Amino acid sequence: MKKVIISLLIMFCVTGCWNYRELNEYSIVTGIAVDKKDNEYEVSVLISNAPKSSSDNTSGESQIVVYSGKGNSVFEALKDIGLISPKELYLNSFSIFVISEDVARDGIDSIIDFFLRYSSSRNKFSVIVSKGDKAKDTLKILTHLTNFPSQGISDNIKATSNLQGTITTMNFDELTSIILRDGINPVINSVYIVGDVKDGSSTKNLETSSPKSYVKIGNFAIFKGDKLVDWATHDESLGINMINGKISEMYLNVDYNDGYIVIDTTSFSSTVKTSVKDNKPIVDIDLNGEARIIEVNGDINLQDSKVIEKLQDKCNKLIKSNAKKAINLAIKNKTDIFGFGLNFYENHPKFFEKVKDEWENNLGEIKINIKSKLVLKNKVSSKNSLEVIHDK
Amino acid sequence: MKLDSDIEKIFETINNMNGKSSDIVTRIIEKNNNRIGYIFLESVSSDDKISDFLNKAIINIDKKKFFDSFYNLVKNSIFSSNMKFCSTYDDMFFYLASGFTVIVVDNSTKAIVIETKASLDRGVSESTSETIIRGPKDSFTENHNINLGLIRKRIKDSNLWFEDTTVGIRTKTKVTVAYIKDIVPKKKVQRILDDLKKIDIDGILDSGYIRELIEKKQKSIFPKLISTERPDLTCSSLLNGKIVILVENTPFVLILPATLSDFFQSAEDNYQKSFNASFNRILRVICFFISLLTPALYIALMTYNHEILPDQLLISLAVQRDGVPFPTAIEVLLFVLTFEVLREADVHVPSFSGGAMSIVGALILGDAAVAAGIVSPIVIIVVAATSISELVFYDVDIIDAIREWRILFIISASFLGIIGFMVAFIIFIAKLASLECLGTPYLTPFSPLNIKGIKDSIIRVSRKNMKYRPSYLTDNIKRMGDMNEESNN
Repeated sequence: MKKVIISLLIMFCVTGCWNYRELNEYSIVTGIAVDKKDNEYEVSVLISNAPKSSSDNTSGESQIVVYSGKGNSVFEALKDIGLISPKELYLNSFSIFVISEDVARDGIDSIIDFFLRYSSSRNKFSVIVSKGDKAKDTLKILTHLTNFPSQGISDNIKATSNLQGTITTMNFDELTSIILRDGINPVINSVYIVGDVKDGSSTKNLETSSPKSYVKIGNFAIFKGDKLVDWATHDESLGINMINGKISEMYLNVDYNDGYIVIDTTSFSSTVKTSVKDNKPIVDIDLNGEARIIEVNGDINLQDSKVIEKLQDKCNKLIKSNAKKAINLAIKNKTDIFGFGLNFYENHPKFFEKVKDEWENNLGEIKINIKSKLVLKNKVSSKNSLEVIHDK
Repeated sequence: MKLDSDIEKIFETINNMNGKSSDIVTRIIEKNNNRIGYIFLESVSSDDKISDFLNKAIINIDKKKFFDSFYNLVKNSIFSSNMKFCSTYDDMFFYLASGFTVIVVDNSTKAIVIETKASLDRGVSESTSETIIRGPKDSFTENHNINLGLIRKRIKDSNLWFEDTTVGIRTKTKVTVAYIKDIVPKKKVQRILDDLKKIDIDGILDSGYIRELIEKKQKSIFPKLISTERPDLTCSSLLNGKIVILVENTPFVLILPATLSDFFQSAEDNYQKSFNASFNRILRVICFFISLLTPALYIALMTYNHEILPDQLLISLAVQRDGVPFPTAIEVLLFVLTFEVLREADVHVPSFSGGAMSIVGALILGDAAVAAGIVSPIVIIVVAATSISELVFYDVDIIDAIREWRILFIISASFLGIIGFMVAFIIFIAKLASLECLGTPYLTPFSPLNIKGIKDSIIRVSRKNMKYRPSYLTDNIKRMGDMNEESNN
């Protein structure tokens, strides 16, 4: 028994509270933004555990503070922030990483390197590009529905990626693996600020019921390697997501006669098959899905099966055209955002080895067949629109 | 020391033995030249029963065989009482102290003792320490015979055996081992009786003495005997094949062997629907772990392993802790101890001061401590959850065991974080697994695994599926006949 006690005592003494750190000795960073200023990086951190007021810390509510530091490297800039922040920065749990447009155009390799090496970083944060605005400003805009801006943006991406069709979740791990591989290039979500930054960053923004400034999620930023090359439109973003099979739910606005219908897909999938014929690459894209009609406007008789068939054709055409637009965008920018190259590399490695160097310049020469088989399931909502019923 | 044959001499010796205590009453009745002396202790006997009778009886006694004829007379006239002989002074004093009246005559070295016990007990009342909502409400009392009766009236089987021994050189406390002969292996009973006989102590005042003395082989904070004041729980244990030790002058009986899962059970579980009983038992297991581990886990997460926490919680906790001057471990220990002080005070405080205490406890220690910034609100929540969880157990010993292990967990977590927590947990499990009582491992039926035993451990399946007694307790496992035939008809 004595031996046990002595060995336990030794255990406690030797380890000596290794890695002991009280939680309130940290500044908890929930968002990081990187800008460029005078040829140096300007890294901003969003710290979210500042108590609301010094006397009342019982409710667990907090307010935010954004600190910025400058340096030639990300680490130097973070150390620069250390001179401002009274507590050590806690970089293990930030949820968004905002890159400004000019930094993204110069290439993001040099800034993501630090986070790849940083041992305790969680690597599940989403990476986004701020379109037009300074990246650090997007961290400052206070939001009504969440406690701090970074949470607002990351929650927004999560919630809308399932519903809109033009957004995808792209976390740091996925991004780096895409950048590091041949034959595929990343697309990254973008955000932009609506309204004035000064208004948005003051608590007055929270006191009104219609906030003057807010952060909105935009369309995709198209990358070639680690550099931003172009911005996609709504249709193109939708097309990219369709081909990449990143979405199951999206809506489409289909014109018909004088009116229009809106369909909502309930399941959507894509299969990309690659083949080589006569030393020429062929890509077959099969888009399958089911959809229901959720809005009808105009003189459309939904009880007529022929009308339904026609509508179905229209939907498929629209899907095809969106996909085409996305492919054209890729060809224009010479960047393989769909990973066709990766697919060839996996299935036809010998062929890909030959064409690898000129692959992205010759994207336009690939024969791409797009098939779309969307089925309208309208059992529930087969009633005609009010207009049609009214006319009778 | 043998009895003298002279009444006066006996009186004198008894008085001298006891330092002429004031409660010794000695009288001599003399009629027709026959002399009868009687002695009793007025503190434990009621005298009016016997003196009246003796007055009348003395007339008709044959002088030649005085003692024998007097004995016959007493034997044939007084039916209701326990009647014995004694021939030494030590015996005589034992009977006197037990509430007997001693009758002595001249020229005889034997004395007749007749039970004239005064009732010094309270009646059978409702259990105060183990209250239940549904089920029998009576509880054991300090009276040994009532306690035996409460068991006997529930199990009217001739195989229910009571074996008595006397423990304690000075208190001479009656200790009864109760068991059902054809269920419990004889070996186990013999082991207990042997253990009891080995006890060499001046006094036994409560079953707690016995428990401590026969538990000595393996040191453990966890109780290896169940201690209860509920006769219904005692009887269900007897029927399961357990052995019960009843000790004179205490309402708490001991049931053994106990396993850890016994402490997750309540007497009430047997009277509820099996699903509800299972739910309650699982709840108690959860409470057991909450109560044991929460503070340690909290410390480990707050001071070492922050990365486990979700972001929202992390920020909320960090903000709440802001401005608290103590390290988390000290903060938690401080409040865990505060609660223990409250609980200890609550047990001993008379009920009329309870209100004042709850105000001090709830308002001042809880609210004011947070407002003053001494402790963060989350610690209050942690300690409250911990403390309320431990109170679901009816057995005080398991509560104490949880408390002590909890502090060990806190200490190891505050030195080594989640690793220390795991180390402590491994030691905890190893310690529990090493315990055994009467050959039954403490973690039965989980380790060693006994699938049939699990049916009545942390769950209770319906009675139709529990046709057998636990096989780790007895070989005679058939508990219930096949009822299917009847229900088909």
